[in-house]
Amino acid sequence: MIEILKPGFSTTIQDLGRFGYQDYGMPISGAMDTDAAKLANWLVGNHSNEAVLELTLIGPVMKFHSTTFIGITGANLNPQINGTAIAMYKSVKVEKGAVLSFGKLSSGVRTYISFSGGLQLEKELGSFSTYSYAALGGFQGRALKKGDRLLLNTKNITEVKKVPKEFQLAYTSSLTVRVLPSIEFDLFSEESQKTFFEKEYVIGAQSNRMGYRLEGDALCLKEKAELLSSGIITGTVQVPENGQPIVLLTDAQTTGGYPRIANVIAIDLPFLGQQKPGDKIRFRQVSLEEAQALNHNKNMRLKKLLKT
Amino acid sequence: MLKCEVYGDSAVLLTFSEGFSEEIHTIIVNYTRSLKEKKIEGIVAIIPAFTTITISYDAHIISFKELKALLLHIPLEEKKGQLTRLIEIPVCYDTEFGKDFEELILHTGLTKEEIISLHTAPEYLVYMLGFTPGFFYLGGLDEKLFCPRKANPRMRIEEGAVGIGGQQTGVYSVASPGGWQIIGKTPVKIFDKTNLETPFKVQQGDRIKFVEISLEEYKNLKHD
Repeated sequence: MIEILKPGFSTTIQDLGRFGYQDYGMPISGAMDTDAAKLANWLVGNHSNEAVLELTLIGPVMKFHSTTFIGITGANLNPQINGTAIAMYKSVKVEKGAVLSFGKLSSGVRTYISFSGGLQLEKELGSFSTYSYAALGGFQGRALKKGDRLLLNTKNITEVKKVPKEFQLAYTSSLTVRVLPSIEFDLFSEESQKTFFEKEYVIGAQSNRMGYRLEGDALCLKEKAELLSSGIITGTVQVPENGQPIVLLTDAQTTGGYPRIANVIAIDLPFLGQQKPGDKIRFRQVSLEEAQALNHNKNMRLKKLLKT
Repeated sequence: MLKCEVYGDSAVLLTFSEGFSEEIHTIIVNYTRSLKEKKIEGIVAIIPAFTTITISYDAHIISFKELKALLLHIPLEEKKGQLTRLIEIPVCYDTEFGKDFEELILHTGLTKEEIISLHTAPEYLVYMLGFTPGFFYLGGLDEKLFCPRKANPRMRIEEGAVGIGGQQTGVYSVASPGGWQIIGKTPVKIFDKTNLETPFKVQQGDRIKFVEISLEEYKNLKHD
């Protein structure tokens, strides 16, 4: 069992998402950096979709009441056990009575912790992922609080694993994300189409798992358009009337009515999930073929590792 | 005619028409049913809306070209399905819940009784779901009840609140911020995660009828 002594800024339980209910308005949810979540689970011998903790910006303090193995990946929050720094991207044995805490954030924004055997929780609508707006999944459908106690499944691992360097992503506070032009791209003025690809945008303070509000040069349509609500997907960049783009992320609503200028490609979503308010973003156009080939190659390499 | 567009590197958008009508809605409901029955390997999510269906897919399993060919092959059927459900939703219009009746009465020039009678008369059509889990967009609100949203949206509207916003009416499926004029509340859960068989009360294509209940009936139903 682990006991939360301090909850951190926002610590939630996530897996790879809740699929199959999007036609009922249910967001997909799940880890913002799915690659890091998969690697964390691999470190402790779990399957990729096992529940992990997603830490945001400031890490929690937690006490282990039983011995287990953990894996920590994603943002570097300088993890410590009983005050001594421990390695990330490596399976670590935590003894009964030990306290896991975190220091200052030095890269990225979301850290993942896996536990060998996973957490003792019931899936809701097929997933462990916390979707707090509907009090669904995770631990009581909400972010963790001081005093929460999470039960661990016990599973001994025999092999200490280490994630090879090439899978340990480097996060930057100035990111270029690759996109495909989206459904309403042609409705934007030529100047705005140019601006979107040439100018830098800053991630605003009001950004969260639902979406990042970007701040920068306003984008406008050739002429005013009234759009009917339509299904949206993770990575959609939509532009409301004030011209400031919003990148929709894993907890976003399933439908939206603002013009969509671009879609972030799948391979760049985990990087995007590691951006925080104040970070800078630029957009670069790629082709569908290039985007899918990049993602295919990455996933094949990742799959090969996860099988070992 | 049916248009199939690239929508990012992991989805396509099917557009059935520019404009929106009950006929297009029927085609989309039928199409969604056929699509689900086909169980195409590689499809990850299906989101039907007013004139479109968004389909996300796993490009490792099915390519854009293969998916597009399969999607364009599914016939468009205009005939209404036999299985359209009529779902009655009890609503208590007592002023304990209907906090915005005064504003609505001022705007529409109708009495509270007239508003309730116009609101409970139609069989509304569920055009699509979205916004929050289980929330349904309805068509069929009497134009005498059209009313602008509140100038200052509320930070929190309770689950089950029934409201009117612009040309739409509906039920808040989970507690959320919102700008609709609130006229009542249903004791029925629109989204119920504890109901493992049917967590969502309503699906696209259903018909909805609001049925007036008293405060006492509301309390009894709420306790059941």
